[in-house]
Amino acid sequence: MDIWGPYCVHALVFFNLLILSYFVFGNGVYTALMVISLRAIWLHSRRLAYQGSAELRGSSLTPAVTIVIPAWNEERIIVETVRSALAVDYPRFSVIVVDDGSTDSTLKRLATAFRLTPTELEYHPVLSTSPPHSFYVSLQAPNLLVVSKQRGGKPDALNTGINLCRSPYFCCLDADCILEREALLRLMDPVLSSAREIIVSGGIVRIINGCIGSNGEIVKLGLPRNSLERFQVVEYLRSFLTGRNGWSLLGGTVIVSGALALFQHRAVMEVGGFSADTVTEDMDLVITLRRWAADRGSDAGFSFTSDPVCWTECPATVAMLNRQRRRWQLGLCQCLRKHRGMLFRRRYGVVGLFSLPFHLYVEALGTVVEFLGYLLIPLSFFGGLISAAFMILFILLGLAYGGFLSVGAVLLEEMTYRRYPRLRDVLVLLAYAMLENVGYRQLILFFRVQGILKFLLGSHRWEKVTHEGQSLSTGPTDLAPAAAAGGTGKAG
Amino acid sequence: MVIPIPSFSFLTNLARSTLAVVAGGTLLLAAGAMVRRWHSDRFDLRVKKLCGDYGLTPAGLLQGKYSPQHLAGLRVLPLSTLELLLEPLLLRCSSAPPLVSVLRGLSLELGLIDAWQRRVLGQFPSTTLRQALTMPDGLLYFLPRLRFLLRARSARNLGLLRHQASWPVLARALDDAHPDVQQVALRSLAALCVPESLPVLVAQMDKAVSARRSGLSLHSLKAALATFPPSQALQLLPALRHPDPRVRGAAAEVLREMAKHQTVGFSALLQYRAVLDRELAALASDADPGVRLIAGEVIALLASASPSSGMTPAPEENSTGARAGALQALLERPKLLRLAEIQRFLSDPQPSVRQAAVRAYLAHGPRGISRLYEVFLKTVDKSLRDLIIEELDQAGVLLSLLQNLGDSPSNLETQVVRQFVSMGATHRLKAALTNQSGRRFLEGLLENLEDHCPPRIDAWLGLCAALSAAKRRGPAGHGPSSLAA
Repeated sequence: MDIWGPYCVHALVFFNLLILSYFVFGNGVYTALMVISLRAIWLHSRRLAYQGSAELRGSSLTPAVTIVIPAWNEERIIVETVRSALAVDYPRFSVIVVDDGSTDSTLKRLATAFRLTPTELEYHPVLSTSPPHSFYVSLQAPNLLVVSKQRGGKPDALNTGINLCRSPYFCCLDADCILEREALLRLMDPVLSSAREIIVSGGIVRIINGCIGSNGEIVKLGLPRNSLERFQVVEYLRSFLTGRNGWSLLGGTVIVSGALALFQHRAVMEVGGFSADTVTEDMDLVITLRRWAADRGSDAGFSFTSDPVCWTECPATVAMLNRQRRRWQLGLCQCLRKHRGMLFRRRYGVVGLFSLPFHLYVEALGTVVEFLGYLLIPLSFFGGLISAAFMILFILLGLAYGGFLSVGAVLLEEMTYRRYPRLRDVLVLLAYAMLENVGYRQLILFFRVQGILKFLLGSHRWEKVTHEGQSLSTGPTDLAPAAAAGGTGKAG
Repeated sequence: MVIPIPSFSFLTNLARSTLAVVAGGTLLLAAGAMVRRWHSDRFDLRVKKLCGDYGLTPAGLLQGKYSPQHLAGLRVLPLSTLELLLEPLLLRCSSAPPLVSVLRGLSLELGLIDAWQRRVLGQFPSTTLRQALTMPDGLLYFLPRLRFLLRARSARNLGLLRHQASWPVLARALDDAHPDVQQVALRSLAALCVPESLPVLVAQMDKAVSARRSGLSLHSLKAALATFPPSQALQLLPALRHPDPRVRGAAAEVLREMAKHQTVGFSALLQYRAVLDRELAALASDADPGVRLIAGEVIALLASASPSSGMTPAPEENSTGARAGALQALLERPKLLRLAEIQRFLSDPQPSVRQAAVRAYLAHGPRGISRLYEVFLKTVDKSLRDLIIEELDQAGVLLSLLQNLGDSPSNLETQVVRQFVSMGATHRLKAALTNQSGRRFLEGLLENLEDHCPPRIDAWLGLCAALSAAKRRGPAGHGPSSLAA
């Protein structure tokens, strides 16, 4: 005991108690979210039987929506993404692709696939952006507009699209995502049927790796072969079906994936559009809108629905996964710092009192606590502060609880949407849900710690994740049906 | 110094127990997922087989292969099982309309319609837990909190089967405690289109905007009302005269949709032309710009149906119909009209026509905007000036107006800004300068000021001098002082 010194021992004891409290609080909230989500998703799957997508589709009063796709060096997948966007089942929509100064052949591919022709357009930027230098319309799809501009980053590209948007709602879609045909109808359904004003409506993102897509559509669903990708499938299920659903029900949504999110145009313009202050501009915008609504005393709603789906390719290599997770963690820390004024403030309701503090304590600080736990718990054991039995049990409990939550997410998927058709897929998902906490979780934790270090060092770099683009084959360009369905001309 | 090291024996025991519970729970969840998949697959097969056994297939029903033996067999089945068998067929009703009448007949025979009506009204037979566990969706019957799912589904079925006599039941469901039931009942009423139900929906519009008691959105009500035939248009009159502009606007939109899409019954709408014209003329001068615009569109649509009106009327024509036709052209294809042609609509007595004309100018791009500035400077009509300012603001043109200020007094933009100042409308300019782009522009301007004094700065200084002069003369609205501040 002498070698430790009294202060070290005190510190270790304190830290052990901190880990314990983190473990109990974090897992307690996650379990509560899972239970809430279980009920909500079960109810939602029942309600699908009488929801009114058909009425929205058939009504000429359904408001127009603009799909804004920011793209930078996305030559491998951009054509498929735009094809899927043009093929959505929605009465009035337009698609604006903002090529953010790509150095590859993104624009060229678009020009060839959609027979683009230059056009003149008045650009009156209400949101400040780097200037666009050319506009293109498609001879094939009358509701497609392509904007080419100087590189300004993703928020800048999104703001350019928002400046050009003439519809009351716009939907952000990442350039590497495939939108399901009914996704826009399902996103708009809560907006139009709610007696409250809904300003944000989010959907879920699923992983396309292992699926087969063609002409902007998923034609065969399946699981990827690579273990790293399979772990991410389970992780996405847990995150979207459990976490976001639960927070949405509690009224504490602060994260809506920018890969697929619908926003009210007027509200976004009022708050100044997407900001480049953080590297997770989607989370930043949602929190800003929360703050804006609360400060105005508005009861504007934020909706999350678990079945409008967009499919995205997840990183297939450790290096790309590292980039993605580092950025997410950096963005989370930046958002929490930027909106620290909302923390523990009653006026911001569930978000200020519970959701943001949870994200601060469990998602941000918890990362450090967990990381240090892997070092200090064995150290405590060797210092004689805890028994071997307790150490082993605690580590096992941590791993088992993670598995419990992941298996719960797979069960949620089975109880509701059953997207993966084969029984074998379910077995594989269950196996990966149990294994996820041995190795993969620690790897992710390591990346997240890097993200925190980057935050502490003041980094602000947006790290691009490049994809293989193997799941999607580029078929013949047949846009006639999509264009016909698109209806009215560009920009809504 | 002795440090008291806490004993972890209690925590170790707790961790051990928790681990056992968590591990057991995980296995249970995993087993649940597997059983669920197995059960679902089996259940689907069973339902499919039963449907085949009882002749409940779309093809079988449509070909009249349905036999009395089948009917007798179905009659002995419990209600929940019958619903389960009919569910896939009901969902196909919208894509296979001939199925509707067959299924409606079958549902009447089996007493399902009656059961659904009672359920929509909240009348459920008492169910014990044992009964609930043996029937499909049994828990929904047993737990009152979940019964809204059954009420909503029943309301949907009545709408899908177009059971007209059920409209009073559905109308009552508009006041159900659960918003889902209200929504579904509304959609079903829209599907039935029973004329007597229309006043009920109009009354709900009032609730939706004012009393906040309704779980229905104004949009849903609009969409439902728009499905009614134009022959019912007169029933919208209370909504067209409603004090809330949102209701007036919504009613005008409904009228527009009736006119646009119901070509068969369009003559029905025209037979009320005199009454509607009077109402629409009032709405075309409404205080709310949105209502004005929609009213203008409806006038245009009605006018386009009458043989005397055309899309681009002759200059000497000044009838309501002709103006309305022009308005439609302005709204739908602004670039088809030459700027000179548009100008005459700026002096139209109908505000909605003037508004559409200003928008048409803006749609012509820089050339149209310059011409609009000229009109703005020349006109003595204050309402037109206000309208132009409002539309310039909405189109986001004000910042480019400020960016293009020149040092010469003859510069068009400078003259326009001076006119803004004299009208006390500078708060709009201030708003344009305080948004993100505006702030960036001002920062650039200040940077230039540090280095040298380019012509644009001169223009700004001139403008500031004008503002100071205006301030000395006395407050004109809240413009100059706010900009100077």
